Amino acid sequence: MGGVKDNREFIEALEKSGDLVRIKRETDWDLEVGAITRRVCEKGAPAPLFENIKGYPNHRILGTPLATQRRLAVALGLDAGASFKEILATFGERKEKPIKPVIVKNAPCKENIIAEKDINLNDFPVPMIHDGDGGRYFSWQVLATKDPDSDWINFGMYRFMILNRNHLAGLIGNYTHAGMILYPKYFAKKKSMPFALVSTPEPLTALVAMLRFAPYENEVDFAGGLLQEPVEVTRCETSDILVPANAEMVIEGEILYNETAPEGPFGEFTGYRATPRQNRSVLKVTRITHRNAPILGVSNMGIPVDDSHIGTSIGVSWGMTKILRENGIPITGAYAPPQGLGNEIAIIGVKKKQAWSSNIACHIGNLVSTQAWQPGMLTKVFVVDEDVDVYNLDEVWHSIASKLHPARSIKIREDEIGVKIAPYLSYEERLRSKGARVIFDCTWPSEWSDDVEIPAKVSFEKMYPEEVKNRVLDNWKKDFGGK
Amino acid sequence: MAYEVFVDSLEDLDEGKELDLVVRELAPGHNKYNSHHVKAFVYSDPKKSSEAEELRIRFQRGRQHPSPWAIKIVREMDGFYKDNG
Repeated sequence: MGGVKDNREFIEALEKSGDLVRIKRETDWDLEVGAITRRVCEKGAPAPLFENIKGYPNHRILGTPLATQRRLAVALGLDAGASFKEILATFGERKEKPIKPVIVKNAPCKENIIAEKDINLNDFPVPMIHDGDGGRYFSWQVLATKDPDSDWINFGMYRFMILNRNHLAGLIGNYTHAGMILYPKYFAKKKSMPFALVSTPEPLTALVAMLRFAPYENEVDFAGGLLQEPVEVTRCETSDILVPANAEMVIEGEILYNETAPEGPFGEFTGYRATPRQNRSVLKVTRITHRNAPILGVSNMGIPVDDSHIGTSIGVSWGMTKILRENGIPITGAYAPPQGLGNEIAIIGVKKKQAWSSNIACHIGNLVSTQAWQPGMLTKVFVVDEDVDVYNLDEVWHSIASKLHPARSIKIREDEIGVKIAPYLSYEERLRSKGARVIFDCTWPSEWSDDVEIPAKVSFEKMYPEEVKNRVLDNWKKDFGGK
Repeated sequence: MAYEVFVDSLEDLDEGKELDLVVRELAPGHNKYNSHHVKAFVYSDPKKSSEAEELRIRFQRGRQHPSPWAIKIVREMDGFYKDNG
């Protein structure tokens, strides 16, 4: 079974699996929706569907669509209780087989078309998410931009703040494909860049927009791969950008080459509001199309686990798995846990006796750093032995506590790239994009012998003969009532 | 009408000078939090100008200054900052 191909189909599937609640009482877009969705993230609660938003009849909000592993499993068409290892295997297999989109007529996202003179972004229940944010933010959307020299259409997920009825301000970093490759092509010719802001497409298109691909790769092809069928797309009203046809809302216009405005601050995925308000890109809106009774997706970034942590966790975990295997590293698994922001902590399991170097942890650390969502992330790499399940954080903690030598097992790399958003960097380091990385080698030294130096592990699995273990397991349910 | 402005420090709000500011409106309703690019005078003591409106202040990462100031908007500018072309 493939993934869900429509946001409304996704809502039905989440309700069926017990991963969605309908909130029918009146809720306020001004902070209340934000407070509820923040607590949902911190509690791992079901996704809220707000059906009665103050001042916005006929509009609904879907909160935190992909903020749990269960909801990601449902989006992929898997059982909601699938393990991370199962989800990762499905994700990796499908991602390697991209499928081109198909253009359709009668796209649901064009059920309503608002002309430029009638546009008012405030007519939509875009929430004030955190108290002290710079403004009302779109937080669950795909920015689609097109290369002027080819057919490449880039999808990326960035935040956008309402400035006024027909302008947005956005943080489109110069490390992103839109900011690094596409925008400069228009800017050099003193031209504004056409854009389409696709609010609340089906969840897998939103997911791929969060992930890292090579330049000139079309993210929508990978969304098709994850869906296991082509994404249906339609042409924008004001440009030749192709967007998902069943998105809830598409905002079209131009990113102005000659104007900036204060944007931010905003509660970010690091769990802090770290990036200050600064002058950033201005987007002029010239057309809005939307489905009847549109449903606005809202993410609430902050302390893990939110949608961004789940999305980057799966993408980065797969990227690390792939590059380590391609380089012949005998790994047992690679995991960027959502609790580690999905993009800051890497846990790699290695069959050390099969590795060609006793210092394989350093090579692993170098390779995985290339898979970060942006340069300067994945700065803490933990390498563990093959007896540790990398997806089980209890086992990883035990490995850190018991195997990590506080002096010789920690490899610090100074003068690395840093990201401005990292809360732990000083103001000076942020200005200069200076950072550091550290590799924690939680493996037994290769020169230690099994018989003399490597201690025996005291666990049920390792400490007892098979005959005794089998007897215990056979009687477990009778003795402990299945606990 | 009340407004809010984000600043690096209170020193950015030079009293007695016409300032170039982007403020956001705080009146309840759909337009709450919309930004306006204005020329304005600000007052740390709201009693200093009878024509002024309330101005709340936040610092760059969102922390709110405890005491409201006042703002007298002289005119609203067209657009934001033409500094990229």
